[in-house]
Amino acid sequence: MSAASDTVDAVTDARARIGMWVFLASEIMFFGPIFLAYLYGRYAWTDAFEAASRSTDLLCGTVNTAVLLTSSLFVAIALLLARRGDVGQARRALGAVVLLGAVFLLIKAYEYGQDWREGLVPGRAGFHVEHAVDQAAAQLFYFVYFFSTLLHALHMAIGIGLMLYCRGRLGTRTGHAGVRRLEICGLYWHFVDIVWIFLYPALYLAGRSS
Amino acid sequence: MKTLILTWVALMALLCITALASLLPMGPINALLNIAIAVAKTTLVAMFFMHLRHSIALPRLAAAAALVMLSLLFILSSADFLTRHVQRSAWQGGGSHISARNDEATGIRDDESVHGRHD
Repeated sequence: MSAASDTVDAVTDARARIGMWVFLASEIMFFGPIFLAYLYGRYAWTDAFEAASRSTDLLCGTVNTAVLLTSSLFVAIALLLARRGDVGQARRALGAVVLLGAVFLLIKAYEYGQDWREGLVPGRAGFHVEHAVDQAAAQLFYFVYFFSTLLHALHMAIGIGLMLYCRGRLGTRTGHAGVRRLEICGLYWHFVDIVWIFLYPALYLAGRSS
Repeated sequence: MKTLILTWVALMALLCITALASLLPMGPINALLNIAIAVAKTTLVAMFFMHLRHSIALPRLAAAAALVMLSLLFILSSADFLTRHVQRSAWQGGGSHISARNDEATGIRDDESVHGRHD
């Protein structure tokens, strides 16, 4: 590869990176207001929000956080391997990412099933959170819970699709373009991971000990 | 590779700390610790997994601009929510606990716990 095409690649890389970061900045504006709604609810109806938060499944939430953090590690490893030109290993790492993403969604689906059976779906007859005096406010917590986790799950599903796409297009034939694609889609994956890093303490850990 | 795995180990350790600490009754420190650990985890992911550490200034600027805009959103909206009395409109009616928190005639919250924080 000539020095000129290296420079072109580097410029395109930088452009793609900035584009993705600006997109992620707009995504923060998308998720941010949910946290604002949560904070206001927690301030205004502290007891109900903490009681509702206690009724979520701590084990599922913690395992899911570990799964997501590990998947992020594999995305970073895949990029490192792809940059070194080890395409086979990079594809294997991406396979692990897709698998971990699917495990995350399955655990979340199991949790939704539990919530449905335990009467924790807001707006549905028979909604009841134990030890919550203000059931209406507890419903608000679960509204935030379902909205934020479903929005996050949607992002996860898109992320899994992107990872499958990157894995398919990663090869010696696509060369540097495949590596760039993986880096940019990886940024998205890490961002979705960061959203969960904040959702986890908000939805699962709040008021756990009180 | 080694840096990435060390980052992951640190993330897992932080996850264990935040999960276990939330089971210990420490009052307001619980919430603060959870937030501090979430910020620490985010910093690790952004710096090492998202390569912000070796990045040129422009992507960092985009990330910082997003955080500044987000804090504006939080601060200005909170300034409204935390200092104004919620006025009930006619169509809101009574009934649910949530709207019952506002005093019928004046729209001033009459709940003890909320009131305490107001003053």
